[in-house]
Amino acid sequence: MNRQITTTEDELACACGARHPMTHGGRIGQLLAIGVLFIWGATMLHFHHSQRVEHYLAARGSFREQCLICGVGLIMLAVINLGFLLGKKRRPVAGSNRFKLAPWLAIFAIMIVPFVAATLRSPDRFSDEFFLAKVHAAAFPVPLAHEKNQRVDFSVEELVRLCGGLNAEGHVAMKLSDVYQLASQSRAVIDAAQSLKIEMTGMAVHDPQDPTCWRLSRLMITCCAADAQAVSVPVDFSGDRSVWQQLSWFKTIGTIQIDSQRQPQMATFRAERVEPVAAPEVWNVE
Amino acid sequence: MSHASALGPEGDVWMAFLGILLEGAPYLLLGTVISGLIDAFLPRGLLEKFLPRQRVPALMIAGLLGLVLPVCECAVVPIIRRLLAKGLPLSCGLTYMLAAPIVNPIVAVSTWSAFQGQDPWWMVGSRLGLGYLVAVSCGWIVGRLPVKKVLLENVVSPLGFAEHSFQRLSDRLSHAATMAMHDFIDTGKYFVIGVLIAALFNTQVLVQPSVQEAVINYGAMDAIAIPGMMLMALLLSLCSTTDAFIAASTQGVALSGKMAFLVFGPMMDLKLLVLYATIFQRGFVARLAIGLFGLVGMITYIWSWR
Repeated sequence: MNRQITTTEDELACACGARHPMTHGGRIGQLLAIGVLFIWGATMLHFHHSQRVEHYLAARGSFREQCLICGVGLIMLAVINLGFLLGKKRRPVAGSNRFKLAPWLAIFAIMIVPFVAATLRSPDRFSDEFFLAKVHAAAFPVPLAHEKNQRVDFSVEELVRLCGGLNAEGHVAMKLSDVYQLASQSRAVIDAAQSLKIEMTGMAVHDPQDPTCWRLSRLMITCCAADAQAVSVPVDFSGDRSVWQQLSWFKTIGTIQIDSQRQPQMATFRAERVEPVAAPEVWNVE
Repeated sequence: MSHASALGPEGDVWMAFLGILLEGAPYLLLGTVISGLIDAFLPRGLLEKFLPRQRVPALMIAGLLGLVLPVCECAVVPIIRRLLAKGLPLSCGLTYMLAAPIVNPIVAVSTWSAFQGQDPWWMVGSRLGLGYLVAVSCGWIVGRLPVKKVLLENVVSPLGFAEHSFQRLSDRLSHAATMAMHDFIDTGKYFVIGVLIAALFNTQVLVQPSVQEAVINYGAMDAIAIPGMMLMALLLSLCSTTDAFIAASTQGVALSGKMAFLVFGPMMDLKLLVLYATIFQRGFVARLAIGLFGLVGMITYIWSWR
């Protein structure tokens, strides 16, 4: 038995590039590796626990849960390795038996510094300049995908329920991305939406093609913040136009109109009321 | 002025960096844990026994292994490194590495969901079929090259990692945990570099008006859309399990460009360029990138004639 373990130790020591079982230097290397796992695991858990993950990962699928599982998994892996390292048998483990500072400084610089710096410095939302660049890229009239197998029996009540019911003011609050996508829905869905008084919130931007017009915009993510794309809806408001301010947040109440004569078919929001509001806590929509 | 505006481009880079990192890290961990388990539990030579001796049938089976072990491109790198050390032939390893992030059930379902209303079955079948074809073709070509000119020295001669004689399950598990930790750090550092580069391109280059105008003006032309979207896939470095949603919602781009994005992206992107360098020699990684660009471009161009 002992001989067997010794053989394994030799193999592992060989694997480590050393000829002897694990030394003090090797254990320092192991401890640093465990430390990296702990820092990564704790940071992943921080993002999930503080709900900052909402700014970076979409709610669809299980991305946010995966962040939690990854954090727990990394901590568990670190604890297991720490247990084996500090255990009575003190088995040798793969890795350099001679502690070398330079490679560990490189690992620290690459694996810890950017992750921790990003965690501490990230504002949890994109800058206005980035937002505007995305809006300008997306504001060109391009055709939306028309879904096949569209519902032909869609009721107003069903739409109200899907949007979370009527709010305190008796309106239906629709996400800006849903209003944007409405033109690609079936006639039944469009008719249901057009018959309702809708509340929609977004950031005001000048229409890139017509500076006299205003659009409400939001950034939409599909999976993670890196794939953020802007969606914007032109707002037709006959009231006091001086209320608009570039890159300020507004709530609008009114109705949606789909101009079926225009190609590509796009939604326009006919606002009866426009009110400035504070920026929402979560910058993205899905 | 908001904090975000005060930080400006720096804050944008951190946003994209954290987005990709938080999304990819779970898959990286999954890959390294599987890699540790492979090292501790998979006997050397076992894979060779199961694969056919003839190269082409072996490659065809290797290209389908993603159906059994479905992993994305971040997870596949540590796994393939370990499988090569365990005696998996290079040609089969490369085929599995390129095919697994595409030819797997998770990607099939996500592609089908994303392309609702845009002929989803055709898109799923085409994506998996073209991905499989490209992976097997690359495996066949690479199988003719000398292994020492392709793999790094420590992968060719795995320093005795490949075979151990453990007496107890706890010894195997402790070895698996240790190897998983080392693989996470070995692969993780390259993953971070790749993510950082992708975040920089994503927030500082792709948002430039000239780039956006090019997409709008030329995106509908196959000859421009195909290389353009492959370049986009390279720079965006998205996960293969979710990239179909981005491709589907990219407006004004020819379908051939979207297909090139879906086939090329899981095989080659900025973070993968860095991750592949943990297995392959740098010259080979460069040749692989160029070869994949040409092969995927050509195949999707032919596909666009349908």
